[in-house]
Parts: sequence; C-alpha cells; structure tokens
Amino acid sequence: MNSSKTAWLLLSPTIVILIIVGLLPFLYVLYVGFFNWMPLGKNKEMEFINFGYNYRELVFDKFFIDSVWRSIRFAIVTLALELTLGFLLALSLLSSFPLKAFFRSVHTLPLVIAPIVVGAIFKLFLVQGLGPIPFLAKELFGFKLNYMSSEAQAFWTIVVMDVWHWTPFVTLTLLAGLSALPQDPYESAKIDGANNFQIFIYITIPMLVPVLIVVIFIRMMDSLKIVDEVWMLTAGGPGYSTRFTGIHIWKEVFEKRTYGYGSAMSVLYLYITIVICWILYSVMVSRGKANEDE
Amino acid sequence: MKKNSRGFLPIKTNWFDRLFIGVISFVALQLIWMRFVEQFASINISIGIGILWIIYVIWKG
Repeated sequence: MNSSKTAWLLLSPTIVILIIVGLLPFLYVLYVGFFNWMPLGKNKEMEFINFGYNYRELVFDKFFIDSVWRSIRFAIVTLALELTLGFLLALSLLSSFPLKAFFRSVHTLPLVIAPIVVGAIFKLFLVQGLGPIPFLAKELFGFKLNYMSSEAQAFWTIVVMDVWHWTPFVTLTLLAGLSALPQDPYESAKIDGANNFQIFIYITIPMLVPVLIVVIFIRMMDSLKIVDEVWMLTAGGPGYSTRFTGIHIWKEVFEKRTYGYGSAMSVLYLYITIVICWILYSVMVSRGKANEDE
Repeated sequence: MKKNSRGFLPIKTNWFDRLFIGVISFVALQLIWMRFVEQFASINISIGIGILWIIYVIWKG
C-alpha cells in the first residue's frame, strides 16, 4: 500500500466522525432554517412559507441585531484586555523572580475550571447579602455593587469574569512564542542603539505575529460564542444587557420552541463570526507580510 | 483559472479563496437587499447579480 492510501485509511475514521457529528448536523440546521417549525407549538409540521422567510424576518429583528452588536462589543473589549494583560504577564514571566514557578502554576488554574463553574464561583462571590465582594466594595469604598440592578455593572462583571478565566491562556501562548524567538535580532538591535521600546515595537511584535494571529483568532471565536458563564451569572439580564447572541438563540429555541427561526439565527451568526474572523485574519496576515517586506 | 494570482482583490488568492470571498459577499448582498431594497425590487435581481459577482470574483479576483 502506498503512503497516500495509508494516509487516507488512517484519516478515514476521523473524517467519518467529523461528517456525522459536524457536517450533517450543520446541513440539517441549514435546512431547518428555511422552514417555519415549532414542533411543540402551533407549527408541528415543517412549513415552507417562501425562500429565506426566516432570514427576511431576522434582518428586521431588533433584538437579534442588538444581541449581535452586544456580542461584538463584548468580544472586542475582552480581547483587548486579555491581550494587554496576557502580554504584560508573559513578559514578566520571561524574567526571573522569587516564587516564579508557583505564580505560573497558580495563574494557570482558572484554565482548568469549566465555564459553568466559573459562573457559579462569581455568582457566589457577587450575590447580594452573601458574597464578600459587594460587602468589601461597600465597606472599603462606599460603592454599591449589585450586578443584577445595573446594566453597566452586569456587562462589566461578565467582562471581568471572562478576563479572569481566559487571560492565562493568552499568557501561556504568548510566553511560548516569546521563549521561542531567536536572540540574534535583539543583539543586533542593541548594538545599533535601539532602546527597549523600539525593540518591542520593531522586533518582538513583528516576530510574534503568527502567535498573535492564533491567540486573537481563538479568543475572538470563543468570546463571540460565550453562553455558559453568562447563563450561570445573569441568564442574559438585567433586561437585555447581557443577552449575547448565544443566550438569545438558546431562549428562542428552548423557551419559545421556534426551531426554524432559531436555526436561521444560528446560521446567520455563524456567517457573521466567519466574516469577522476572516477579516481579522486577512488584516493580520497582510500586516505580517508588510512587516517582513520592510 | 489563475493559481495564487493577484487580480483586483488586494490580496494574493487561489481559486478557493476567491470562491469563499464570492460566497461571503453573495450572502451579504442578499441580506442587505432583504433589509433595504426588497420593498422596491425583487430578491431575484440580487440573486442574479450575486451569481454574476461570484463568477467575476473567481475569474478576475
């Protein structure tokens, strides 16, 4: 058997599983998205109204469009904070200081906690009358922290929770990238008289672009599809302030039982996610190439 | 069909990239048409324009 046939034979179980658990459900969701279907409600049978009926409704659905903007805003804010903090932590972990190994292990712990548990932990910390954080905020700063009574507080609480949960991932990935960088350009730059800031901007960042692309890509997609932490902490409230698209789709499909409309929402949101990530990827790759050409 | 070529798109692309860009922009056109133009003109017009656009992007992009 030649190597190509062996490769296909070894890959075939994975391909079959991916088709069964990935491609076929996606095609089914795509199909259902063209029908008006509420199996536990008034439309028990799939009803075809006209081509793209659900999508036509969706482009006028204020709640869905608002949820998409909310998710995008959340993704941009968390990505900026996680990248900044992660970069600073990765740079500090490159140098040596007492208890460095201990700090690195402790700082990685949030990564191993399931998102729903992270939501539960934050809820216990923040709940009125029981959690220590509102108590301390009131005692020390005179600040009334009640994330379920203010839209801004709810949004920023979720931002803090996501940053706490995922910054270690950014730190570890950037640390791996920074540790693997060659030392020659740094030595040349120092001989040429470059200062630390110039070295960081003109050498470290351009050489880290491939790692940054991976980190930004993964975190952007994860932030856009956030559900479980938010579900545990605020369930989308108060009002609509933390109703990100994942939560919005969940409520449409499992509370209102509008399977056709929910499927169309899922497909459209997948499309939006792909477009955002593709634009981001194209910009970063072209920037990286421009830097290489310089 | 050109391989890893540079057409009117600002990046180097292969035929699959151009198909992807064509389909993505096709969907965007349909959604924008449904939202803003369909009250005045049928969606079939935008489907026609979209298909021609995909062919053009694959061919010249």
